[in-house]
Amino acid sequence: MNRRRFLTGVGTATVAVTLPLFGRRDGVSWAQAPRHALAATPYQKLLILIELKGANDGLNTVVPYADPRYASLRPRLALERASLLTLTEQAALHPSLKPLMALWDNKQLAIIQGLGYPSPNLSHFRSIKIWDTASKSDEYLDAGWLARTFAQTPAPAAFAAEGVVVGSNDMGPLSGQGTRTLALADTAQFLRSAKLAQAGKDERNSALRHILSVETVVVHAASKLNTNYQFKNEFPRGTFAGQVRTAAQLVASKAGIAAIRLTLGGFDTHANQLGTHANLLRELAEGIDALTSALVELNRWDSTLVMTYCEFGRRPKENQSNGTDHGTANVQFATGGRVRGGMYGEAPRLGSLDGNGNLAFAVDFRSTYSTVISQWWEQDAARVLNGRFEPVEFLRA
Amino acid sequence: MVKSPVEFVVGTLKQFEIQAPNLRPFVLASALLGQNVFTPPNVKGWPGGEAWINAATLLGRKQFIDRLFKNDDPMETTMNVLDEMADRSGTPPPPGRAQRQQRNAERAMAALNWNLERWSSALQQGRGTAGAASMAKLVLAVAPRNLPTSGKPSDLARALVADPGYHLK
Repeated sequence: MNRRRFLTGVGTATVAVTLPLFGRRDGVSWAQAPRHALAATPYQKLLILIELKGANDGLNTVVPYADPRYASLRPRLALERASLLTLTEQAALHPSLKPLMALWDNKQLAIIQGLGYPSPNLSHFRSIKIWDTASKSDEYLDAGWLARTFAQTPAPAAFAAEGVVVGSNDMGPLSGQGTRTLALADTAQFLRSAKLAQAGKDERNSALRHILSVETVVVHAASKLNTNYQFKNEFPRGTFAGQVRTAAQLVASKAGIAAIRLTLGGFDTHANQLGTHANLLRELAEGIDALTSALVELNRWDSTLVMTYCEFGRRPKENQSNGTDHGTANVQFATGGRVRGGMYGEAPRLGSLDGNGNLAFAVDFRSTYSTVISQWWEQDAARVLNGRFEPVEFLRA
Repeated sequence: MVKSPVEFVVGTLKQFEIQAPNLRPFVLASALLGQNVFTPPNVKGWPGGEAWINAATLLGRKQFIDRLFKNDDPMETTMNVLDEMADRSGTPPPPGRAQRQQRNAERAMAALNWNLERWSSALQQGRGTAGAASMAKLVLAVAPRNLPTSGKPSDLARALVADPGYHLK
């Protein structure tokens, strides 16, 4: 599909006509390729999701400094122009995100603005569920969007796991039965405790069958994972950096993993936001920086896509406690060796806030999932997402 | 049906007649296993059922059981349980709070009054395999997958709590 996307990119009018030809050629090349289970899986390409739990304040992350309304909505919270890291004539990064500037300069940092969905829900719990399950605002789905992707196209049995949740017991987009998902904080500790698990199956009792299938997943993963690799680069200190190190260790195991989810928590900055937010963004940026170095060292940078997400953004107007309240549309980052850096989506329209003072969204958040499923993994996104969402074109052909 | 974390933790205390004057470490254990008492995720409550068990919570339960039943020294036992489980949550409490929790847990466990050997011997006294079967019935809601045919009564109890059926009610 890379050729097809390349052609789309240069605006060839005959794309539709030439498609079957390329499809067939792809088919031929697959047939000639060695019939090796690992060689044929889309999941040679890794996805690393980073949840910014609590809802990151997008306006103080990618700052629309050129819009005078930014400073007037935030008399106390607006960041000093001089301190900002300039991206474009409209937007600049929070100073704590300095480690991301190397990625931006390399044109490997995609910034997707205006992500949201119709009839936004402002409850953390409900809105993260909407993001995790890629549902409509009034739709209740059980399985996460990644779990549904793996249900449609499972990872090879030889993979250690389809998904690994690091540093949280909430499976988020990986929740759902039948998905081979692990949750762990530290690989060595996981391997120690996995010794207590015993594989088994074939029980008539459905609850017991579920328990045994989880034990089987654990035993299988433990047989594949290891902590042998010694990284040249040091990882920063802190909880999130520990998750990054664990993720890097998982990749270094070469055990086969399709998706990893990390969580950086504490973004629910209703009060005294400035210091807390600066620290969180520093942790995020240093973590992504360390992750980048580790993936480059492992020769996995080109086959990894890193993407942030969270339940919603925060309200443009600051509150009475030097903080910000729950909002709607938000900005997210994507990076990786195959990411085409730049600004995507739509800059926040501070001039046309809704009745609650919130931003209108410009791009449905499911469009970024569509990019992952249809362009990164080259699978049928419409089936997983229960509808067509135009992918955000932030991947290089 | 799958036991909720509270049913699992409190049920273990009741079942093996473990008297804990301070329940704090066990409340924490339940929270780490997915059920923070009186703090449900939303008005609907916990999803419950099979959703209680994923790779993280199952290993957490196994560690809890392993540590509780492995050592002769109950204080060491709980310290390990809490350490391991705090690790698992991925968000260790700040140092001061961790130490305070540790001291509280130590005090609680120092006063913990139970003896697995005594519990299992009393149950099985002089009854051989019939005793083993009745202990299995008492501890498990379903037939055990592997019932050891020999060994000390306490080893039998350990095998039963390690059985996947121990998470069912």
